[in-house]
Amino acid sequence: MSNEEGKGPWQSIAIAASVAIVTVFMFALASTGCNKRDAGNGKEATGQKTAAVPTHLRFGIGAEPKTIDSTKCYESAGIEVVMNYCEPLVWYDQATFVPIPGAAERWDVSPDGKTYTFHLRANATWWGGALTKPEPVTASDFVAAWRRLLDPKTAAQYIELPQHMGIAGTTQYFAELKRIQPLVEKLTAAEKTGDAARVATLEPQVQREYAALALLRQGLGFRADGPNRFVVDLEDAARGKILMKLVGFPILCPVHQPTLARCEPRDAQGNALPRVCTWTDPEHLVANGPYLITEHVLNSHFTLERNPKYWDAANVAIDRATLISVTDEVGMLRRYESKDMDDTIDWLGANVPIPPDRIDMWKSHPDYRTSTLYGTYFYWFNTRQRPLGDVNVRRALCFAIDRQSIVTNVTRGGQVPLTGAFPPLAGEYSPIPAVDGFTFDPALAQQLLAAAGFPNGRGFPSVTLKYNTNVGHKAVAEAIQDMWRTHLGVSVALQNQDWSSFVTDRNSGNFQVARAGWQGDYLHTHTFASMFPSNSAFNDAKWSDPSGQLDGLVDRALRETDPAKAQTLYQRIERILVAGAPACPVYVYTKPDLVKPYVKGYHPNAKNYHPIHQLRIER
Amino acid sequence: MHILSWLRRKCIMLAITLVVVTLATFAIMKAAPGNPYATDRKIEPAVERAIRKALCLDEPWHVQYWCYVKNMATGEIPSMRYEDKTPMSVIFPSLYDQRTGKQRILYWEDRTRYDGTKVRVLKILPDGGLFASFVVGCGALLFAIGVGVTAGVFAAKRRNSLIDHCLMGWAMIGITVPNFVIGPLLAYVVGTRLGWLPSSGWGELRHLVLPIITLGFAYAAYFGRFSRGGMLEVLNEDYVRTARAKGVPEWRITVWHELKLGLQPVVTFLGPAASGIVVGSIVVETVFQIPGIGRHLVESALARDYTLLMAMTVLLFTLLSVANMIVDLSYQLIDPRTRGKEATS
Repeated sequence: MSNEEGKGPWQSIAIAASVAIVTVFMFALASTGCNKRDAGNGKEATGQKTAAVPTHLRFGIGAEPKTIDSTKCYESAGIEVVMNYCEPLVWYDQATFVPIPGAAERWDVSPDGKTYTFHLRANATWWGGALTKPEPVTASDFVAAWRRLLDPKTAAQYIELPQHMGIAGTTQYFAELKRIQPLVEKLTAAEKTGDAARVATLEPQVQREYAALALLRQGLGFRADGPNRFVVDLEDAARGKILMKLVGFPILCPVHQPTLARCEPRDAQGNALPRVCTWTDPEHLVANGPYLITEHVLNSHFTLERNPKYWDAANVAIDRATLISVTDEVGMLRRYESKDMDDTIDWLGANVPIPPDRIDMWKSHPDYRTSTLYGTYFYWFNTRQRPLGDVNVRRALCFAIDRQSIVTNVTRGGQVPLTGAFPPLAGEYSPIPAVDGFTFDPALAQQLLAAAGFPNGRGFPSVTLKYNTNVGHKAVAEAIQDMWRTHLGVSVALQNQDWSSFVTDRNSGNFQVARAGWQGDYLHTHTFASMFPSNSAFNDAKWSDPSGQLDGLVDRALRETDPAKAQTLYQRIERILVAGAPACPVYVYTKPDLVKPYVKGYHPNAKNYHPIHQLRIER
Repeated sequence: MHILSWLRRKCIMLAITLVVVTLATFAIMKAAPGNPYATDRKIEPAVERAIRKALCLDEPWHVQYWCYVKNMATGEIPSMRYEDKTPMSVIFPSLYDQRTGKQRILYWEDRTRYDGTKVRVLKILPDGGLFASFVVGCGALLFAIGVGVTAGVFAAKRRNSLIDHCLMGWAMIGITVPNFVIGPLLAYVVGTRLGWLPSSGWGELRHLVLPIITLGFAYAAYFGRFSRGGMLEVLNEDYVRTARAKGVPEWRITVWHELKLGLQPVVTFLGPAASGIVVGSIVVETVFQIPGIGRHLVESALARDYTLLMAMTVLLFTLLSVANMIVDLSYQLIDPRTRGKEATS
C-alpha cells in the first residue's frame, strides 16, 4: 500500500536537516582553507624535485581571438598571442615605450629626418613548422609583410597603418584606392543581381585597376636595401615619431614567405584562392619571435614554448606560457585565487577586466594594479538629427554630466574623467585645463538649453541614446539619462543592441546619441584628432567645424616637428571641439589588473603591452 | 521488418525536414541586420569588398545558400567568428596532434609543477569541440540515470522512511536550484577554496567531475522522482507478490520484475533530459570554461557567423533526430505492443 499522505512534517525536517549538515560541513571545510593535493583520478605524485624547474606563466588574453595571423589581426586578444611569436623591428620598454632593438639591432635617421634605415641583426632566424634548419630573417620578409598589409585583397583591417606612419606614397595609394571604389561597387552590384553581361564588361577593368594598384604598392616608401637593411622613407619628418611608435606593433611583423605562399596561394591577379592550410597553426607556424605556439585548443587556451632558435633565447626567462581564452570573467577571478596549483593563474591578463561589481572587493588586494590606458569613452551626437544639429543643445547636454560622479560611483575602476577631447600622454601631450573643458555646470547647461529654445527641457523632441548590450555601458547610460533629466528636464530614451547591430547602426548614421570608445592605435595625439576632420571616415557625428579651421589644424599639428608648437596646436583643436561638441567625452579608460607577486617585469602601461619575454617568475 | 520500413520512412522525412530547417535558418539569419565583420571603426571599402567576396556575401540569395551548405563539406570558407578554422574543424577538432603525430583522445602527459614535483596526468579529449560537449553530456546523463534511478529505487523500496525523505528532499533541491547556481557554487567551494578539483578548465579526467555533477544533478533529481513513482506503481502488483511467494530472491525481483515496467517513466523522460542537457551545456561550458560547442548555438548568431551557424543547425538537428529515433526504437524494443508504431512522433 503506497502511503503518499503520511509524509507530514517529516519530509521537511529531513530536507532541512540534511541540507544543513552538508552546507555547514562544506563551509567549515572551505573556510579552514584545508588544502589537499589531488591524489586520485589517475595522477601520482612522485615527489621528485629537479634542479631546473621549468617556469610556466598562465594568464588570460580576453575572448578567443578571431585570428592570430600577424598581418590580419585586429583585436587585442589576438595581438596578445601574435606579439609573442613574432619579433617586429623593435620592442618597447613597458614603462617608458622607448624602442629596444628587436629584429633591427640599430637604426639611423637621415639628416632631413625623412629616411629611417633599420639594420637587421644577422643572427635573427626563422624556425618552426616544417623547417629542418633555421633560415635567416631578411629585409625582404618585412617588405613582403608590409605589402601584404597594404594589399586590399588580404583584407587586413589595419590596412591604413602605413598611412598613419606617413610612409612616402601612401597618400597617393589610398587616394587611388578611393578612386576605383565606385567601379568596384558597380561590379559588386552586377554580381549580386547575376547580370553576367555587365560583369563581363566590368571585371577586366577592375582587374586592370587592381594590377595598377599592385604596381603602386611596389613603389611605396619601404624597401630592402640588401638582405640586412630595411629602409623606410617618410612624407614628412614629423611622422618619424609615429613611425618609431608603430614599428614595434605586431601588425608590422615579418611573415615567412614560403609558408605563406604554400598555405594561402593566390592566383595570377592576386585574388586569394581557397586556403590550403592555416599558416598560424602549430604544425605550420614558422616564426622569428621568442615563442612558438605548440598547442591551440579553440576557446580554451594557447600553449607557447620558448623558441630555441630565437637569437636571444638565453635571455628569455619563462619557458612556457598558457594564454587562456576567457569566456567567464568571474571564472577567471575564481581561478586567480584557486588553491589547486594547476588551476591557479599568475596574472589576470591584459584584456581581462574585473567586472565592475567586483572591483570594490579586489581594490584592497595586494595584487591589484591599475593602468591608465590610452583610450577614451564618449558619446557621439548625430548632428544631422534634430535637435542635435544645434550646438547649444549639444553643449548643454555635455555640461550637464557629472563625470566625477560617474567614475566614482558607477564605473569605480579609477577611471580619469575627461573634459576635453584628447587624453593626456606622459611626456608628450598635456590636454587643456579641466576648467576649459566640459566641467559639470548645470547652470550653464540650463542657460544653453534655454538659448536653444527648450527652457527647462520644454518641447525637447524625443531622443534615443544607444549602447551595445553590456552591464557597464548600461550603468553609465542610466546615470547620464538621470543627470540629463534632473539638471535639464530632458527625457532621453535608452536603447541597447547586440554588438553587430549596434555597430552597423552607428557606422551608417542610424542613431541620435551613441556610445563610443576609441583606443589609440599609437601613442600620439593624432590618433584621436583624426576622428574629427569633416572628411574623416570616423567622424560619426558628421560634424564639421563652422570656422573651417579644424581640418587644417589637424594636418598642421601632425606635421609639426617642434613638440611645443604641436602641443599648442592640439590644444587649439581641443578648444574647438569643446566649442563645437560633436561628441561628449566621459572618461579615460583604465584597466584594473591582478598580478601575483612572483611575476616580475610587469609594468602597467597605456597600451596593455606586456610581451612575455620581458617577464620573469621568481618564487 | 516493421522496424526497417519504419526507419526508412523516418529517414526520408527527416531529410526533407532538414532541408526546410536549413532554408529557414538561412532566411532568418540573413534577415538580421549586421554582418560578420563589423568592427568598432569603419572599414576601408576595398577591404570590406575583399571580405565580402571571400564570404560569398555579395552573391544572389540562392548562390549564398548553396555556398554555405556546400561549405560544410568543402571547408573553403572559414568560420566567420574563428577565421583560422573551418566550421567542421570547430565542431570536430582533429583527434591527433598534427605537429607530433600523436593521438589526442586518451593519453598520459608528464608534467613538472613549479615546486618541482613530477606528475603524470591522464588527458582525455583535450581539444574540446563536440567531443567535449558529448563527454560531459553523456557523463551527466549517465550520472543522472545512475544516481537518480538508484536513489529512486532505494527510496521506493523504503518508502516513508528517513532515507526516502532525505533522498526526495535532495531531489527537490535538484529540481528547484538551477545549474547556474550549483555550478559556480561547486566551482568556488570545491575548486577555489578547497582545491580538491580544478574550478575550471578542460583536458584531464578531474576536469570532468564538477561539470558532470552540475549538469546531471537536476536530471538525477527528476529521474529519482520518476523512478520512485514508477516503482511504487509496480511494487504491489500481483505478479511481484507471486514471485516473492515463490521464493525468488529480492534482488532478482527488483531487477527482473519491478525495474522493467517501473522504468517506463524514466525512458519517457530520456528524450527531454537529453535536450535539456544539450541546452544546459551552454551554462556549464561557460562556468567551467570548457571548450565545447554549446556556446556556438548562441554566439554564432550574435556574431553573424553564417557558416558556423549553418553547420551547428545541421548538427543539432541531426543529433536531436537521432536521439528521438533511439528513444522510439527503444520503446519498440521494450514493449512489444508498440512495434511498428511510433511512441513519440
